[in-house]
Amino acid sequence: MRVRTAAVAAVAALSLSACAGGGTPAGSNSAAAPSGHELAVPTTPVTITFEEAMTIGTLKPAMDKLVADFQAKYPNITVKLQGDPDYATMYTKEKAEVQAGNAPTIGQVYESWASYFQSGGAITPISELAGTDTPPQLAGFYKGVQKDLALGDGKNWMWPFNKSVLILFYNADMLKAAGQSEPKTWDDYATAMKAVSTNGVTGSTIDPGTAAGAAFGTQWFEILTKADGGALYDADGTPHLNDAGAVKAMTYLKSLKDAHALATGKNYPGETALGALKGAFDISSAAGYGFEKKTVGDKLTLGISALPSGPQGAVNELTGTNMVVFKNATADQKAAAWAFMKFITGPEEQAGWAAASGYLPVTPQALPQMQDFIAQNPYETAAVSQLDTAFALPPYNWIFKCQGYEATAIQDVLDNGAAPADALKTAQDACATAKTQG
Amino acid sequence: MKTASRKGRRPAFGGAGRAGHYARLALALLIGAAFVFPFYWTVVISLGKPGEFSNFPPALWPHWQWSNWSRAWNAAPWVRLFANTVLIASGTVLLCLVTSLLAGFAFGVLRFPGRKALTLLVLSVLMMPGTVLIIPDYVLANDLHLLNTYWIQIIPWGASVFGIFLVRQFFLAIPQEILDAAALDGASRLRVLRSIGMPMVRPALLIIAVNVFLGSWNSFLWPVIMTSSTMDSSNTVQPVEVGLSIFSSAEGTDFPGLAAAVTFTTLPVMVFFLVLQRQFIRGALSAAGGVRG
Repeated sequence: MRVRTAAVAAVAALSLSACAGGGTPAGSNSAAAPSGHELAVPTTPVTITFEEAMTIGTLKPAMDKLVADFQAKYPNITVKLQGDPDYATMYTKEKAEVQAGNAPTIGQVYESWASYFQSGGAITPISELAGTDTPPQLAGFYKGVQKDLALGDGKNWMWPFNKSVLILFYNADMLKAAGQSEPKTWDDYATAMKAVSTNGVTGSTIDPGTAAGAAFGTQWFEILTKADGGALYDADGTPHLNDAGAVKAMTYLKSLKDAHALATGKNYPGETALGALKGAFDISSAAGYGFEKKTVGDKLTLGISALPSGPQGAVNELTGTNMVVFKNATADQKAAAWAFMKFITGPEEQAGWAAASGYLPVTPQALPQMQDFIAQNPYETAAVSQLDTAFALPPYNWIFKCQGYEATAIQDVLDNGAAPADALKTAQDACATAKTQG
Repeated sequence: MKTASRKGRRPAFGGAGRAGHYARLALALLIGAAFVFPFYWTVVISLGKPGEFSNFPPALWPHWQWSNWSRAWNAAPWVRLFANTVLIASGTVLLCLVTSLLAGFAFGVLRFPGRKALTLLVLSVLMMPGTVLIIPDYVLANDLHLLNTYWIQIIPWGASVFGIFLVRQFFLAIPQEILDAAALDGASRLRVLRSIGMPMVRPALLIIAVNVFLGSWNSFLWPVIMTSSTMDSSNTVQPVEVGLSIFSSAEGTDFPGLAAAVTFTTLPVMVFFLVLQRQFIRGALSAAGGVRG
């Protein structure tokens, strides 16, 4: 353990006490009034920065291409990528940069993060960039993506970036040997999971997430709840984590665990188990296809399908993040940032980005240019179709914390044997408190 | 002579003695294998085919896929990152040793008003979780123009509460008479510290050096937040630990690439230790001998 200087401690204490007041970054809460005119692309040299978690990782070539294509079209604009290794670190860094007054021009954000920055007056609304809250390009996005860009005030503050949905990967050979077929409903899924869970095989291994953040296991629970007719959150972010649908979903998970058909782990455990021939299914992001394919190699026939349906039909949840423009950027930087965001979400760039990264294109207009990719990856058609109906959790600051409470509840039930209703009551109380704190 | 000498060193085994010898040997091999296996397996994964890392039971023989190594090698300026890590870790250790020695001497030997309160104040820092401070620390570093420098990775970690406490405890154990005798002979405080204190607290300094070096070598969150990624640049100030994160993404991890990078960034440290292990052990033993007085 180490000590810092007294000065650091004093500044830390001051900063912490400042944060305790509102828990949001400093700054005014008023957004600039829409001018009615879209910001014109600057013609003089301008440099913008983009804080993202893509270039530190395997997606670097795809990100570099987006930037190179943009800079080829607008040679006077330089885009500097500020890569972070993961989302949690990126959020910490973005908060620190905002506090220090040197926020990037553009930042990759989840909806709840955008809410945090917006409540502190740290980001710019789309209307200030596009001259309108509903720029023409918006209508070209998938409907689920369109709905994902507004914050609690109903205005659009975000622009889409790396979007995806969850899909089902499975060991087709194992299913066939167990006399099972691709599950169409969650009941089918439970039956298949139990059927394959013999001889050291566990149907699926999930990452339930942690108090610090959600994982695909958390999102599966959210999807199951909605598919059962439950609602974890109202539109205004009021939580109902112990809603009957949520308890039913958690009981479903517990029954699978009790039947030794479900296990928990960390760091993409479903993918690892699938590759080790110790698991039959993995619910993961469509964008993870490349990793799943590498992991299973030629050891099995990899089946891919849309998620099974529940009583409420097919339900899916958006994964991935959006972009925001930070307030402290200059007028030229904001104009350049807007040009960049529009450019990379255009059909041509989206087609290239989706094929290279595994994320889904945010606009169906990209599909005609992706025919070769779709022919090689037939799951893409089913996945993109769900972008119209996939839901996103309400965009409020506390939702991020509440997903951590959901994850803790899943852990309590699956790993510690807690009763679903009790674990979810604890999560509900904690989430309600978080909402009160804002 | 040779034969006699060997006979002199090796016990003559009878039935039970020989069995005991082999049992000890087997145990030593087992323990050795337990320590070596994780590194060996990392090498196997780094040379394995895609997906092999997830095999169960694990693959035990490499498939010599050197393409994983070339991919990993080209992913970042590793020599620069390695040099950065050595510089940052060495600088931090040096600074920590100086501050631990001086503060430990002050708290353990010198008598001044408020000594106990000040000691408690320093120790109380142990109760402050580092992650809570990271945003205010960033703001301060920005104001001091220390972001993206080596200094921000060294200076804030240049004092260790554990180190100060350890050295203080060692100084408290030194008989006051020795220090008084030195003072009577006209030694200044710094002379007492240099000629009497330092040799006697050498074991504590060794422990601090190893702990701080390892902590600095493994540091991840602090350099990630305080420096910007410039993995393409030969001017990056980031350490190896941050460089290794390029093999992970939000959707998965390139395990063979990561294993290859871990192997070639760990290998120099292991070789360094193996070459100098006798000196390390001798140093630790002689240092331990220093406290018996």
